[in-house]
Amino acid sequence: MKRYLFLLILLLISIASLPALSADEIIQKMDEHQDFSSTIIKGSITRRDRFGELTSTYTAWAQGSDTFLLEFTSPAERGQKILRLDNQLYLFYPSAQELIRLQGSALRQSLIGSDLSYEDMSSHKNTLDVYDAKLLSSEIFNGRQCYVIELSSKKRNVAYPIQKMWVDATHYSLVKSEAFTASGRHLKSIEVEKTMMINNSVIAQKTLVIDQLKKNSSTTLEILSIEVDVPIEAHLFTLQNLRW
Amino acid sequence: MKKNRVINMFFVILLASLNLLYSHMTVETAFDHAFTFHQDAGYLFSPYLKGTYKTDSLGSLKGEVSVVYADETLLLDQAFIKARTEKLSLTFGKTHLKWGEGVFFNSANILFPSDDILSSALSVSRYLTSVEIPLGDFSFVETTVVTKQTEAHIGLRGYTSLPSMKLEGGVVISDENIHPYLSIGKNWYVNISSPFWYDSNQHSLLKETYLSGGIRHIHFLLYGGTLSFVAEGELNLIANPLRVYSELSWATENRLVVALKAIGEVAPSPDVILEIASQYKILDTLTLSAGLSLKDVKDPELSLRVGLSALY
Repeated sequence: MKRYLFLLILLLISIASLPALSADEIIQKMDEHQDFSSTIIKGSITRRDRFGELTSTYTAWAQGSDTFLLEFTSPAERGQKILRLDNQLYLFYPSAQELIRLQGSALRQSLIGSDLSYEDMSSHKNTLDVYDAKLLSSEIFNGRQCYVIELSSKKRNVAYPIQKMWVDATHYSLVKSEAFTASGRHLKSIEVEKTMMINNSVIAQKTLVIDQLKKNSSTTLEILSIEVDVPIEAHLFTLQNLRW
Repeated sequence: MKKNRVINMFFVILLASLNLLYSHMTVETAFDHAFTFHQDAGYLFSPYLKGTYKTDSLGSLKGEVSVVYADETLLLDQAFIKARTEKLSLTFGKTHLKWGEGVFFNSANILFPSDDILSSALSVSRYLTSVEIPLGDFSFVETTVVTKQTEAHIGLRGYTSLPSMKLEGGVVISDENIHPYLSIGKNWYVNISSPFWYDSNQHSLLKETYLSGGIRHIHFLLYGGTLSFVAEGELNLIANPLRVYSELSWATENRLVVALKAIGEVAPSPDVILEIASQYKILDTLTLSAGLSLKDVKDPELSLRVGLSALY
């Protein structure tokens, strides 16, 4: 009995000791936390379905949070590129020399058969420009003290009108997220399984994504190496480089 | 002693080069076997093999070689290198370039026109030298010299991407013709091209004008996968044959693609080719394909094609 009482007191102390931040401040800190001037990532995407597992590898270069180029390096997709520039998303298929600009419903297509869509790659630099945030509670998830925040979209044409996020109360990094339609249908779950520390920021090293509309499907994204705040040549984000 | 050192050095350089090439390459092999049945000719068996070696980008250089074995003949399909600086990109060797838009009919693809209704334009390759000069992030000009048998064709084109569409135009000059084209669009597209024939008496004479266009639509299915639709047409405004192409394909997100295709000539002599094609990804790098096509409804010819392609 004494032991439970001790644990309860410890829990109350930990909740009471969380800084008194508003939902907006927590989301702002989370956005700032991952705001690198540039990144170069080598990573992998592992898709699982009832037939087994397929893994693709890639290199991605990002300038701020609005401009990036992702190039697949695994044999099956080698040379396929995705460019995000000026809020537009372009795909390049080398075998067909085909450049496609994705718009409208095409953005909802799955990225190489994974649980991610191209829409998921169109992230917003400032979450609060698109969503209203509300602090629901704080709880311990996977041994980490988290703020639980609900985001409701301010705009109509948003991929995920409602999101529930678990944000690490110490490092302001995303721990878990669930996305819903406006009517409350569960669309997607994201869970950070492993983190790494880069320039005093905690970032997701291994993330599990589950598209709730698919049966027996899940995707793991893993960062194999990362460089941050390094100079990136501007010509990477051009048509010349896409067609290269 | 000195000789041994040179030999050792040679092997070190050779091994380093092989290691560099091995770590930056893709080797692709494709085996296709077609079994054709015609009521007069009976069964025909035609194997098709293709091997491709591609390097990744080695700094500012990359290359590709592919050979094809078909009809008991070994052919060099492509062999080219590409080089680039920030100011330009250079392509040299035997390959193809895609100008204009279109999945099946593309009247703007004036450098590599295809006479065979069943072959896509990209299957034609020729010896060429091409220089592309970027003008901003999404615009460029390109100049090309392509050899067709003994004749040299000079091509020039400009390409720019506008907020809601792309715009492309150019010209190909040969001994007899000046062949301009214009291509616009994105999810929908229209190409127009028209060769002008020159002689000493009449400085220019319009020969034919080709017009092609189409739409592409991808529909996202609620429980995964996509349904895509392509409809295209090509019209020769002088000789007036209208050819159409339609394709409906369903793809599960990971492994299977099934496509129904119909290629038809509406005028002057109506004809149609029907095809059902499928691809299944057995492993990440191993794909099985199969297709059944029916040519010429009046004098039918049925073909079954099975193939396997592998990547290393």
